[in-house]
Amino acid sequence: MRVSRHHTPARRDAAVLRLRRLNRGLVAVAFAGTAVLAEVAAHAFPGHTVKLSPGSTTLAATSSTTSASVHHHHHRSDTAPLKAPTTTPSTGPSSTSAASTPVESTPTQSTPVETTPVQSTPTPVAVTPAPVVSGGS
Amino acid sequence: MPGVAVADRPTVAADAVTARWEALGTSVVVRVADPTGLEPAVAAVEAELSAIDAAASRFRADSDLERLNAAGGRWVDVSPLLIDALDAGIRAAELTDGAVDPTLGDALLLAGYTTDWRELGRPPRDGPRRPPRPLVVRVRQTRAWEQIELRRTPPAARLGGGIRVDLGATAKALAADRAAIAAATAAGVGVGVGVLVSLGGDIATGGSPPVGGWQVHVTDDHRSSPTAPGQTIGLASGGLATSSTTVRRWSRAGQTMHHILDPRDGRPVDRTWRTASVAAATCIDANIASTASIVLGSAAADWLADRGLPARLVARDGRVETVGDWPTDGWPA
Repeated sequence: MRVSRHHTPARRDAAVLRLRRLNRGLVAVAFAGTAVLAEVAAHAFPGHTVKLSPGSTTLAATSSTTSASVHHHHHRSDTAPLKAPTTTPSTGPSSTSAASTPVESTPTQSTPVETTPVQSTPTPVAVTPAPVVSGGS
Repeated sequence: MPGVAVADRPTVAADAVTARWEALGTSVVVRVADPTGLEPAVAAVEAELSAIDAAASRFRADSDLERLNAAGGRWVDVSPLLIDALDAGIRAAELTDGAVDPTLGDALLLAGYTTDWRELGRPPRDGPRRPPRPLVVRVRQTRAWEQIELRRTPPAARLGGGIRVDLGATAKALAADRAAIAAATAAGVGVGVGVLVSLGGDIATGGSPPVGGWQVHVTDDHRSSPTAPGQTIGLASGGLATSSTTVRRWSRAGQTMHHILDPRDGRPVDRTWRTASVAAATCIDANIASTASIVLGSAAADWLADRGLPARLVARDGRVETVGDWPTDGWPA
């Protein structure tokens, strides 16, 4: 078989080696570029990681928006956390006897209970105000 | 002991520091530390409630919210107040991973909550109940609240994905916070007049409280008397909310329904706790946490403790558990 002067095995191996090096270089550049672009994008379009909740199929979410006037609130990362009270509730002076037991009776009727309306009688404070009731509504 | 009746117009109680009336489909209580501040405080609260009703009522076809729900995914010009209320609803969903979800409008309609709950069928009191029938429940989108888009200037909103919004819980608590601020200002907060506003048992405070704090009795139903089984506490500041599956119940297809739905399947929650009371810096934070507690069930106590929120949880069998700094009132450890 005739071997061309320009296609010797040695030249072929050298060419393959150069191609390998070039490929490695390109891969390295691609990785570095991806990392740089990801960092830039992360700062340009803030998103947030979403914790997996029970029953949820969404593991994570990131987002971006190009509209300055439209707020996709579900994508914001500045959701203010729930705030604890600055002063904690104290034991009231007039807890009922039922309040001193760790077990409450089960309600038998959820219908609102009403009585005769209280008449408007703006008089000086003479009656100790009853506690305001906080319950389901 | 029965609760106190309320009228459509503010009625001053014999103590001269309390006014009560009906609004937003629930009862309103305004209490002031100084009786001279009651009248301006009541006027301020009435104005706030009127505004939130026009913005966020699900039972008024002309409310901003209902115009938005009926818009078929188009942008709708709305009031800044509805933007605030929608924002609060989205925040609730984010903070609870969807346990409190403002996009349950369709699920509530499917459950039969189509009008003021007092006009719905009452649940049977006694006697055999019909065997439960499976509800037809639509498969819900995950994180559907992400379909709500808001624009501040000019104020407008859009609902994508065919969702329907109900802001019942968070809008009421938001209104309580706003009303308490307005009332305290009107009553003269600068001179130390404190105000408490209760909307259906969701309580917000402003200004200086009376000595010993505002006396609040937590129980299953906000229409109960202060002697009903529960606990009386002193609240010096911030907000307090109670959610319960024992109230706002109605009957549909032989099943007893209530208004706290599990966002995962759109059905009434029936888990560990029947009632949850939570204290927080604001009424809306307390409301978010109390509603989430009912939905989270057995995970609620740890969830509340992680957030530093004092709470009182009542199990379906009446067992009481307190969380964090909630006063135990001498209960056995």
